[in-house]
Amino acid sequence: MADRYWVGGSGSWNSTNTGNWSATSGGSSGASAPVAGDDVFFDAGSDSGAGFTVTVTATGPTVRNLTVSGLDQAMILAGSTAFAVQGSISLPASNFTWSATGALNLTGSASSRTILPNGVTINGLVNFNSASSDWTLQGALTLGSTRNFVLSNGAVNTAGYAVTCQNLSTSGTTTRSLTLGASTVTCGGTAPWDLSATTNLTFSAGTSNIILSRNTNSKTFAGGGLTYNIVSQGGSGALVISGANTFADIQNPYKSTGATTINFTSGVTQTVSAFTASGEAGRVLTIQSTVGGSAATLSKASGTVTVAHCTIKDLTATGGATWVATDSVDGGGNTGWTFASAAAPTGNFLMLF
Amino acid sequence: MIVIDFERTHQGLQFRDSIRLSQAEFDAITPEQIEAMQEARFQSWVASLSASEE
Repeated sequence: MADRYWVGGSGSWNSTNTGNWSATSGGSSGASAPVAGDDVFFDAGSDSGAGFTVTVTATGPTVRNLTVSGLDQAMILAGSTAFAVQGSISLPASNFTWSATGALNLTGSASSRTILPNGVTINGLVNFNSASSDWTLQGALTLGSTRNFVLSNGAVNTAGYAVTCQNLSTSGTTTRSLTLGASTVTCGGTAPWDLSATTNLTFSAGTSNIILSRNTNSKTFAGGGLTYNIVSQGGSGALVISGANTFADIQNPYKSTGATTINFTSGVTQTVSAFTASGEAGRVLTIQSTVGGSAATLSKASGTVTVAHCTIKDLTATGGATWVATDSVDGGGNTGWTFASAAAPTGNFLMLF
Repeated sequence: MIVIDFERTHQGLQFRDSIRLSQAEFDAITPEQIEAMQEARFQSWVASLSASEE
């Protein structure tokens, strides 16, 4: 295992270029390109007196820890080639731009790895793919708007920090876990959330809020039948919820912006502890089954659910709770709902003839 | 490393992040600059709530 420091300003980062690597910070170049097991550093000794660009090129490198710190010139990490980090990643709070679009593959077998984005938007797909490895975020993780968060293998703990990406998904049957804590996870894609591959998957929702924010186009929340905290309709794109999931709450923060829709899969039961999703006057929330004439089910064990300014269609409300819709439209095919007007205002009135 | 965790709320939605600085970076930065850094990250997140176009 060796330390490799980038020197000489702009250049190509691949498995063969030795012109930009030194064994010491700001030292002479000519050291071998880093390989798996080597720690890589970009620091104040990396530039040549001006801003510089490090372009990842084929064959994409594999390194252990990646540390970018103490830059005194602006650094851009560029390129479209995928590369792998088998340890931890630490990025600086300033002077650094991750414009590289290649996938960041987090591989290897080390445990207790940390990822410190420090405000840097990572503009490539991030693939957590390491058996028996675990990663903990040390700050908000923001991926480019068209970039995905993929859990292929291993354990990811977002440690309560915000996560923003296009789509978040997992697949396969390897041992995986995702722990959200108090994280707000914002997914803006058309397949923003897919945890339907539940074999050997452990999902801990904590007190998280998963916001599905896409506008215009519809989007699918494939819940995998897991237990969630809050899932929020955050955009105008119709949201389809699939899987027989359990929610602490389903919310509609988009109601302050415009009308929107939540579709629940026909023939499937969503179990909720609360259902506070509603519309607002002039910004109706439509809640309905995915199949006209074939109801979906919402179930709450006790208490009262009150929704307002909704259009409700082909939804069975059950479970023991009382389900009330005020200032709402009965679109037909509903069971278990009481459609009521909002409470009449109290006070005196004057009638003139 | 100096750890500065912070939270901001937008329309009831919470954003939580962390600024981490070396001692030298922390000594060279003003509280106003730290606040500006936090606000920039928060506003970038707020913008992502209403963007999302492929």
